[in-house]
Amino acid sequence: MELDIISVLITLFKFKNLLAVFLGTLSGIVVGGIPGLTATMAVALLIPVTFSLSPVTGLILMGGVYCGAMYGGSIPAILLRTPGTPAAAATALDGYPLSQQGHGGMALKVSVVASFTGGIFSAFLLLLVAQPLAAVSLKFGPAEYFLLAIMGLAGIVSLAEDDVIKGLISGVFGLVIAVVGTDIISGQLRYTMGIPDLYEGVSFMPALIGMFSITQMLELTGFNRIVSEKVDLKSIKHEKMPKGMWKFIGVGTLSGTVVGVLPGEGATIAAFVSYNFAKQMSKFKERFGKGNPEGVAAAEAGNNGCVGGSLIPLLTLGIPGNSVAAALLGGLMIHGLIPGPELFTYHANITYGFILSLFLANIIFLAIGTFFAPYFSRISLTPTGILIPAVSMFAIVGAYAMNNSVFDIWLMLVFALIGLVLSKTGFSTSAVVLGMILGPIAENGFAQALTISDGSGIIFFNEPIDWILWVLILGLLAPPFINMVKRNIKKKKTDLIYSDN
Amino acid sequence: MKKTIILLVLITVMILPVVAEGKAETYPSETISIIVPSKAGGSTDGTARQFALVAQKYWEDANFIVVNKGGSGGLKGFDEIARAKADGYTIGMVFTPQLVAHVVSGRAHYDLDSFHIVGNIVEDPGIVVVPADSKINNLDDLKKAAKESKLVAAVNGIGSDDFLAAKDFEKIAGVEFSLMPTAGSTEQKTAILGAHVDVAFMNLSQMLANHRNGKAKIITICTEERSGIENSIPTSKEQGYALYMTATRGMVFQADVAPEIKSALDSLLAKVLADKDFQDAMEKMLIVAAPMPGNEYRDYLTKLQAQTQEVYDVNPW
Amino acid sequence: MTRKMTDYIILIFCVILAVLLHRSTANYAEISQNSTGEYVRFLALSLGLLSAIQIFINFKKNDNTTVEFYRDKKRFFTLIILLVIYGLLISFFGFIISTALFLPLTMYLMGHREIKVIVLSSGGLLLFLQVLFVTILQVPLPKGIIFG
Repeated sequence: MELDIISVLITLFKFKNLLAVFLGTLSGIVVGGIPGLTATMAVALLIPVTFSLSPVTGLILMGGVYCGAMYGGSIPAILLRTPGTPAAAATALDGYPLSQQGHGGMALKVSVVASFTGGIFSAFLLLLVAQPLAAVSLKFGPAEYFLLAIMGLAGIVSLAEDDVIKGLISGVFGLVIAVVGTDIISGQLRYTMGIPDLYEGVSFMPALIGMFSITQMLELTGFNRIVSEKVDLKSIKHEKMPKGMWKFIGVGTLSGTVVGVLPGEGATIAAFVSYNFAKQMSKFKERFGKGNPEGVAAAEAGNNGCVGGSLIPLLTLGIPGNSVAAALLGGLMIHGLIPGPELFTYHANITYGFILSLFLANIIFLAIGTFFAPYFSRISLTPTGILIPAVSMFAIVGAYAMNNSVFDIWLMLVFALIGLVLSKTGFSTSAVVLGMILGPIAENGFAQALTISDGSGIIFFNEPIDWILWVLILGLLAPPFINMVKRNIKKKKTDLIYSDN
Repeated sequence: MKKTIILLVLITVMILPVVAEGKAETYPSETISIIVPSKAGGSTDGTARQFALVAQKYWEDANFIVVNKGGSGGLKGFDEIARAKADGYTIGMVFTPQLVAHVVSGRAHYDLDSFHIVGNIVEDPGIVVVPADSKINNLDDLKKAAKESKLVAAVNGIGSDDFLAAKDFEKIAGVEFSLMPTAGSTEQKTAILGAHVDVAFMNLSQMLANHRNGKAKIITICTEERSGIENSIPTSKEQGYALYMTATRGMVFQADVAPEIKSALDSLLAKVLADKDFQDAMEKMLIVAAPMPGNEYRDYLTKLQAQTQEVYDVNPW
Repeated sequence: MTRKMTDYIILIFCVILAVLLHRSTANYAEISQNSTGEYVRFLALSLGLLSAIQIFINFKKNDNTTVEFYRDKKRFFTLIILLVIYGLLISFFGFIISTALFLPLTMYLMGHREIKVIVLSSGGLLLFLQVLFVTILQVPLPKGIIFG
């Protein structure tokens, strides 16, 4: 069967397939927008159902869910500081402050446009250069994953530029939490206190919901609304997207797609890495974390760039880059579609139909998101008396549903208190989150690399890629440190002037 | 305060029907949960969901849901199945050798007697796989290469079937690998396709597609007889190594469930296993159906536990 | 409490954590001493060192700003208590009953007084959750010990 682009397009634009993209994307937005419901669950649920559908329709449905969910996570992240998916955590950093300032509608618009751009660009790469990119992704071994984790951790320094030492302490604290669980090398259980729920480590999503969402609900007990009273509804609803976003959307798109191609990395890391790059490039660095739409743009472009990116190793090599991709693999297999070159030759009509449907899915969520943004943004005007219980309920059910575990509900509440104490005392909860995400990757990469090299550290400098990564790491670390030194010198000077007087 | 009381009354009225519903007489009148001790989207999960779908055909009134309890090599899920109320509404999937390995290592809160074993559903033979351009072509080559220099072997976690197979090979061939445990088979796959390790011990379904299109090389299948799914790969037995490892996936529930429910579920599984739709779906997912009735599967598990114990005694993890 | 006080408490906790963590690696299996053991020791050292530096900085700095954990004491502690009770209720009565109690009660105690709004929004949320989670997505909600 040769690729016949006309017939692919005809198939794609059949009514049932258009309906599948639409329904898939819409339900994706819903599951993505509710913490605890994931695209993985939805896809796993759809697999046996799609068995009776034609392969194209089934895949289109699942692809829509994937695209929609990645975008959907940003909506509650921006409005309520409750990331619907882990990947939307970075979006909350600037999105929520914007909501507080009455710019929720604008933040939602930035997020949907950024998501769309990231999604479309990565779908183009998947369409055009999947094979060569997949080959590059294989160059990454354990040593390179370790370096990538370090690159991500460099973000801590720039996340907490106001107080670098406290930021670093927070980050290392996150890494320490990530140590709980099974020692990968020996299989020994560490710091689990005999609780089976900790064998696999502290679950990330409940901890994240606790530190971001519930902490915020506790904070909101002191307020009547999320936005200050002065802001009026009209301006929230109809604010336009600010100018100058494209640069940051571009950065996010690129780094998101690249990180997405690497199996084992994920959209969460992609979002944080993009956010970090954007911050280094911005003219308004000091506004980051306090409501800079540039941060929202980069983070959202980053995590949606992952969608197409993660499908590259999946379709070409059968390597799922994250849990949704793993579920999608099941969806391919049930139709006898085995990943590999055959997918692009023998099954080309199905595969390209699927890839092209991703473009449609992105267009659909762009339309839905733009249309509903003004309505969603009204949430920030809801009285906290109603809002707090409602969000708390979603947080609790979300913490539970990730692993079907009541233990995780308590874990979430504990992390809510930790988050409250840390954020009130000048430590950085986002640095803790970053440490927790990257900890396992750093530790496993480090330990595995040393197993391969028989204990020699040279393995971290062997390949040209390693050197590129080192340069990037230094590039990310240098500016914050230079800034810090500059500021100290300035301060000393002003101190001197004062003491002279 | 008065208002609060009215409110509470209202709400109680609202939820009572939800609570009262569904306490009927005949089995199955409630939703049956299938606990899957791994994450959504994996092949155990896929098998369970396919089972649920096909089982619906035979028990039209019944309702099945899949509950994922992933992590810790299945331990959390296995424990949960054993601990659940023995009313026939919580059944679960198990996989070997992890099911018995946790008993052997003393971490499990169950043992084989905690379960009524419905039967085995599928199997996934162990394989030894090397990068496509590796000089190693068979187990003899592997032995020779391992004697010359220390090879890096990727296994999916300590105490997994891969780990046990690697340890077995070390003993049989008198060699020692530098074992690189990974978190999941995806990492193993990447390590082999990118030639970051010399060899990996995995399962057939995970690498068969890559073997077929020449991206990786399976040098042996750890069974006595060749696989029906890919006839060209030589077995360990043919190559003169007694290296046998097969992952199986079966279904169990609590031992003290009423006998009539036991036989009802036993015959349900038998029907599903014989169903054409179910078999088709398994074949497409590259999963080998290996139906085995409960008593046979119990014997298999008991034997496997004894073997695993031997490995553990020499080499605890 | 002043910022200085809270900092000292947290930092001393971190130093103790670092020491304990460093010492615990001695119990790691032989095989992981040079890989994961090394990694964890590095974390412990970093945590201890950074905390020590911060303690030193605080020592020199005079930061007397007070840390306010809450603005509305009554609502703040009410919410914490309600969340804990909610968690306990879920373990005993399952999700639906506990939520049916938690939502209206919390709305009321958080200061919302329109009974109609409370009933409607609680009922609406419960219905939404039941339909989306249980009926459509078949995601199991927490079951209680007493009611299932």
